Amino acid sequence: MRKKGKPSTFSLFSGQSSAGGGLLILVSVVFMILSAVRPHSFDFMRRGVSDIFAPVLQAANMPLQKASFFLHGMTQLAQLQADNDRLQEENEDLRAWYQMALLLDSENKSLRDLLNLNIGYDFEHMSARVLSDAGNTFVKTVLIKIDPRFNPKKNASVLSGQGLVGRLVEIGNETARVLLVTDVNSRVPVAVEDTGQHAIMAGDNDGLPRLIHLPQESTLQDGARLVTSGYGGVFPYGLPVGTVTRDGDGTPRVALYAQFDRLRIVRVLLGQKGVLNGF
Amino acid sequence: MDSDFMHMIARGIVPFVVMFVVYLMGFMSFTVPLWGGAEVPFMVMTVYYCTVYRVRLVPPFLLFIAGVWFDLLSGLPVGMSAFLLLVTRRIVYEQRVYLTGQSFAVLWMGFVGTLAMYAVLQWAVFSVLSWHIASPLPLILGSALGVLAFPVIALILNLSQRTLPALTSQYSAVA
Repeated sequence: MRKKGKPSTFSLFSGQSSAGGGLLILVSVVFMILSAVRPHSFDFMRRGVSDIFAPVLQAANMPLQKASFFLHGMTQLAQLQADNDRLQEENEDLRAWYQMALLLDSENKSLRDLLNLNIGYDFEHMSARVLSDAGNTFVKTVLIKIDPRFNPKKNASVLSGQGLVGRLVEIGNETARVLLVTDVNSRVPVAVEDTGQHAIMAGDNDGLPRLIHLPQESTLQDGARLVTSGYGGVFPYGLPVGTVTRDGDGTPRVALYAQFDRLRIVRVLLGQKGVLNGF
Repeated sequence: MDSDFMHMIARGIVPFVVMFVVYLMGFMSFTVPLWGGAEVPFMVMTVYYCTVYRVRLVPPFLLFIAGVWFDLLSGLPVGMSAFLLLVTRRIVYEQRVYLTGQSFAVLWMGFVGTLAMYAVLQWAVFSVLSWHIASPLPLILGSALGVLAFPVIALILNLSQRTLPALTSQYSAVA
């Protein structure tokens, strides 16, 4: 039975008194203002909490991932025959391109030898399992499980089997957080592979990031392939990003290669092998 | 401690375990075929249902901790979820006198209104904190899924709360 008189400290926060709820609302507002003004204030807490909660998230997410893939497979059954035919045609084209690539690679090596130039684009990388999906409405990040022996660095590029996924923004002992390229805070310098035209890919919290800071006279072709330009020093040159597309307003956007609803294993780039030597 | 007290504690844990499982589901994304991924507001369902029927199960300090924990794990501005859950609890608490004893359809409609308020507030708070007008479309999809999923979650919570022991006068919790 509730005692009359001055409420105890416990009753202030247990719901028996409205003052406790009001005080906690005030504390939440203070936290929010602090998060907005100094975004990195809670980084150390995020890392610790992620490390502690990672096994629980991993176990809880596993059945859901399987169900999601099963559901996705069911909806794709109708397209199997069409996909099969298309893939066979693409395979034939790719075989021809493979032969061409071998020829060009050989020619490239000869020319580099002549110039005494050594550029290496081989990256050391680490595979990591995705613990939580990119499902938050407003913040597009995922938690991945890392191996601390590889010592991944902040801002390391993260890729899926298809293309660029994002970069590491928080690194704990067992987990790391990846800021996806679709997040509103993401900015990726890109370039059109054929023409070298530069732009910035800006996340919009939806599946099609915008292309901004385009030159006034730019003439982007739909379907043009985009890669990271290497500007800014965060993302190395040449990582596949996606292709140019346009929305209903004609705004240039990027159809990403990476499929974020089926992320299971990603690659974290640890460093670049090879150094640009002088002439 | 007497065995009756221990028995009561054991039975009292069940609703919290169920609420924790529902809380975990809030971290997951559900893919709708041909539409995309969406975040279903499981925490809002739990807070709403428990505030109406068992308000002692969702004390403000628990919602504060759950909200802050959720923000830390999901990358949201810290304090945002705690703020939204506490405000939601406060509003539903004031309205529960009109919801208790009503049919499930009325309860469901009440949830729709609560969820709409929560979604608008969430969108507004995040837009202010990020200095960016966020797209409301993902919220709409998640809210639609939440409205559809509410009966299932309400049933689960109802079943779990039947394990709560009958409260004696010594441990009476006046809600």
